[in-house]
Amino acid sequence: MSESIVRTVKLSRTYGELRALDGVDLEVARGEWLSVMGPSGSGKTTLLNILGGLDRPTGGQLFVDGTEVTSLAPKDLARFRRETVGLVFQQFHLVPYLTALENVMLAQYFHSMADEAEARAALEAVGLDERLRHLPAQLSGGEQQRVCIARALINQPKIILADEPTGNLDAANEEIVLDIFRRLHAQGHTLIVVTHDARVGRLADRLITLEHGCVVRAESNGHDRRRLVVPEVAYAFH
Amino acid sequence: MRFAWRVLLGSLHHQRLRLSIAALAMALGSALVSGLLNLSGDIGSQVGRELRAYGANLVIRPREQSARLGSGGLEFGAATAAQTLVEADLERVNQVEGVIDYVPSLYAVVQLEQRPVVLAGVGLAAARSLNPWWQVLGRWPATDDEVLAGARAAEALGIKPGEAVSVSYGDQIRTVRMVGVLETGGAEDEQIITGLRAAQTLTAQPGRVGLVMVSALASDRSLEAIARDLQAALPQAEVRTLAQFAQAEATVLNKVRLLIGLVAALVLLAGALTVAGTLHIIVMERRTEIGLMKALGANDRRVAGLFLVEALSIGAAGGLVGYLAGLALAIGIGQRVFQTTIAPAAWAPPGTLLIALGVALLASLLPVQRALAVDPVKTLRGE
Repeated sequence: MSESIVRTVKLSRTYGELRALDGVDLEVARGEWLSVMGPSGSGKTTLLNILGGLDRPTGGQLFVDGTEVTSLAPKDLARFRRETVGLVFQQFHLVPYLTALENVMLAQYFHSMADEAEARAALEAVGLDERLRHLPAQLSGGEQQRVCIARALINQPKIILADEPTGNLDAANEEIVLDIFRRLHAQGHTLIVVTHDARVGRLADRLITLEHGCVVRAESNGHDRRRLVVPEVAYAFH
Repeated sequence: MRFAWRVLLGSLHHQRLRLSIAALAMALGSALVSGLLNLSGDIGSQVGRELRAYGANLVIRPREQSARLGSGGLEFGAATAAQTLVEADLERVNQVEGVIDYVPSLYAVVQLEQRPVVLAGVGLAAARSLNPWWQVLGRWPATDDEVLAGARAAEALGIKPGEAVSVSYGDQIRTVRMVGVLETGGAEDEQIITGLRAAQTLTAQPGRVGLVMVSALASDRSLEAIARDLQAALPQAEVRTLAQFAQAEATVLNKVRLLIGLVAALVLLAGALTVAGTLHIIVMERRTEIGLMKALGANDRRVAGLFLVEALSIGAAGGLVGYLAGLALAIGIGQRVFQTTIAPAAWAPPGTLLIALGVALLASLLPVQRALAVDPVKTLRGE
């Protein structure tokens, strides 16, 4: 099996009485595209938030690229977020008073130093070379999502985490965004994508399904462009 | 750093209306601070000068004296002209820092139409200038043979302006013309007032003075310090402060400063609350943006820095506008209240700006704490 970049051990997250994640064991190989599906409230976004260092588990461990993320101090967790992960949101979350270019540079600024040429190249790579100086309000949903993807990629993160990246897009823009994801995957990026859309889920190398905070199904889609990773997941049914 | 400015300017422009209101509130407080700072340099002098209208606040007399003397309702002893000062020595009085002017005088008990009365020879020009409330019915003496009669003295002696009367001192007899009735409400009302030179000639004491009333400005230096300097300049004389004036002056000055200071503090507090409220609303409205910044890896220092710099921008804008408004206020007060031009105090601009920045910084502490407490998971989910 290929080298794991993400590994969770009995990962749990409870909110009071609610068990959002319940002992999830998961491995994601470097360069793998993993889709996470499941009904609302199944724990998909909670899993993604913990993988991205935005939230902390209440039990279990998370290792990313050999680092035990669960034990990081807040300061180191912030560094983990800016150096290791790239986040793509369903709502795009662009800063309204910054241009497309500046929104990408913002991630560079928090990482180390803003570099306009690099940011411009990142936006050109997602086909936005004509929209660099536009504010988010002047961009379509698909264009905003592409800015969001460029921002997620600008610091060359080890993993890209996307939460319903096509959830707010029309069919044409969905296709553009998915095409970018396909290219990223082909270039060797590790993608973990939470989605409701079965079509998006089937594009991944592997698809896991969460229910009540547990992985209830893991299936390989059999079209791994690079490698097929056999999941080692704990099946749990409640 | 250049990019940080772009973010800051973008953010300020994005919220310009709300921030302008907060800056305006700061400007109001700063205007009072600026007015206070600009006036406090000059107000001491101005109030001091106003109080100077109530007469001198220092008296210089020979070391030993037995004459009953008085001015402005104050008794300084009794005069016999046995002890006097050399008039030429008084040149040194004007060289003492804080001294505005002085009135040299020479007292003698003379016979006027065979009745004893105190003749006060005074420096008439200085006396008019330092005692603006002195009322003269008629006119001031223009020559050495003209005199003023105190209101009660004129009544007691039965003399009227325009009348010529004879004055004798020892074997010297002179005829003088009474040209006006003087009313001061003090001891002068019972005296005959003439020029110093005339009194010196009549009493055969050329170049001598018996008493010197000094008006000093005690805003920058204490009256006691000025008195000490005068004493050092005139070792043969005795210098005393008129404690009543010194205390009244200090009390009024302190009350004026306290009043302006209190009003400025209250308005600044109101400004601080407005800034705090505005920043709090901004933080609430920008929770998603703060959550995003945290998700992108911004540490607390970066997030806090953004809001602190915005708060400082409010403080700087408010402080700058407030300084200019306060300067205009000070100049207006100077012209309308003190009838003088207030010179801008050199330390008013940095003082106003520093106070405005400090208040804005303090006002931002709670909103910044609120910003740091933003949970990116919740805000990015739209909660």
